[in-house]
Amino acid sequence: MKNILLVLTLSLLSGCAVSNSQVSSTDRYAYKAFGEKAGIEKVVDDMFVVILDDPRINTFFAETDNEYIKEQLTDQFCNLLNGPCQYTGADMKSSHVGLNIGRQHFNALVEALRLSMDKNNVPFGVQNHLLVKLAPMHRDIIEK
Amino acid sequence: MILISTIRRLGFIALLSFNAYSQEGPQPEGPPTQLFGSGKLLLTGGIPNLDGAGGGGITTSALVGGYGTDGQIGGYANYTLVGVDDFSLKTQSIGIGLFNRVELSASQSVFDTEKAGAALGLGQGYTFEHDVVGVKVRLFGDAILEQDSWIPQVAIGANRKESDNEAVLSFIGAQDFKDTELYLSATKLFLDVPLLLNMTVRHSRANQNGILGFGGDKEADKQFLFEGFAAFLLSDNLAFGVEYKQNPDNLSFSKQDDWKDVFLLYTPSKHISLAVAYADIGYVALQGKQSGYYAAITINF
Repeated sequence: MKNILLVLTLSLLSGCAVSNSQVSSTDRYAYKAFGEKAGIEKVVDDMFVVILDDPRINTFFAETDNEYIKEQLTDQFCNLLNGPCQYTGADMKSSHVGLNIGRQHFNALVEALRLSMDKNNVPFGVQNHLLVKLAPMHRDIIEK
Repeated sequence: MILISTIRRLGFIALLSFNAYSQEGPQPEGPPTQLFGSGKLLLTGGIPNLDGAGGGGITTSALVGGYGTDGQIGGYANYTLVGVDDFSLKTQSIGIGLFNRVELSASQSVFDTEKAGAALGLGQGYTFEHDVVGVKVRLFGDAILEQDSWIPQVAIGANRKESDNEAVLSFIGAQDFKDTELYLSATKLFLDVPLLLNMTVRHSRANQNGILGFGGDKEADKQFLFEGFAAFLLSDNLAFGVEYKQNPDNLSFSKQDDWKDVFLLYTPSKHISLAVAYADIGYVALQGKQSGYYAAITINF
């Protein structure tokens, strides 16, 4: 609860203040709350445990190089939180084209991420901060 | 009753789909698509209002009820109890959401005048009963995923309401005991706050949501009425918020106020939602200001 309020306050502050730096205080707080890059890596690892156990979406990852995907996701999440990481993977559209991903699969992955972030004690407001940045990607990922 | 058996049938479908889901193994080719897979995110199924339409407790939202997302079918069954100073209300409703596009719903309400019934000359425990069937169509937008845009999810809908108490309603000055109302609803999740906002405009002349008929001696025609809610998400399964519903004041026999409530919605899983609220429904049928509790259980898939 305390964390939610803190993030809320920070969100409001960052929304009101004219920020000179490229990295908002909310991003800095969120990146720290995740436990920096090592924490993000752990969240991605745990998310994959959930994904591979979920019959709704595990077929997408049956014949993929999941270690590589995990690295890419870690860099991507880190980059979205304005951490010191470079995402060098493919753009979302070309990496998902032809997979026939529906909204039910997209949402299932969001649920896996939520579960993993819960498990790693990422505060609710910080979880939302990342999800806000990921959600619009549905336009490039969902095909039907 | 038809409604009860329909609820049983819906529950059966929910159970079937749930079993289908748990028996589904990894498939060798292509993504598995589950027609009854409850693919919406937790809490985004909402709960039906007193008309049976997806929304909050007393307001309607643009969200399609149930947990079916694109390519899926969802559904819900709800039982609601409202107890205010001099009256009580029981409502049961069911609904089905088709492909995150169309919602069909039905509800039955029994409004018990309890002791006030005697004071009104109707007899103690006199009940007003009314049925509603509704349809809602999502026009455009996505309330949940479009987090980089201000455009809300927008839906239009219609409710057909009919009361069993034609003679009494005519006596108190209502123009009609049945009517159709139209609404336009906009809903948007601001996940960064995190706040779910909803605003609906309704073209209606329903007295106390239709319990006391439609139109009156003071004002016979429909007007545009606003309603909405603001729900603050405390976690991914718990929301706290306020609702407001504007009502017409058509009858000279008794003034009518707007409805408001403060609610807590707990959704431990996609299959069950529990809501409690403190409701203030204002002046009702000469009995002074009315306030009390609202409690609802919703089974979803």
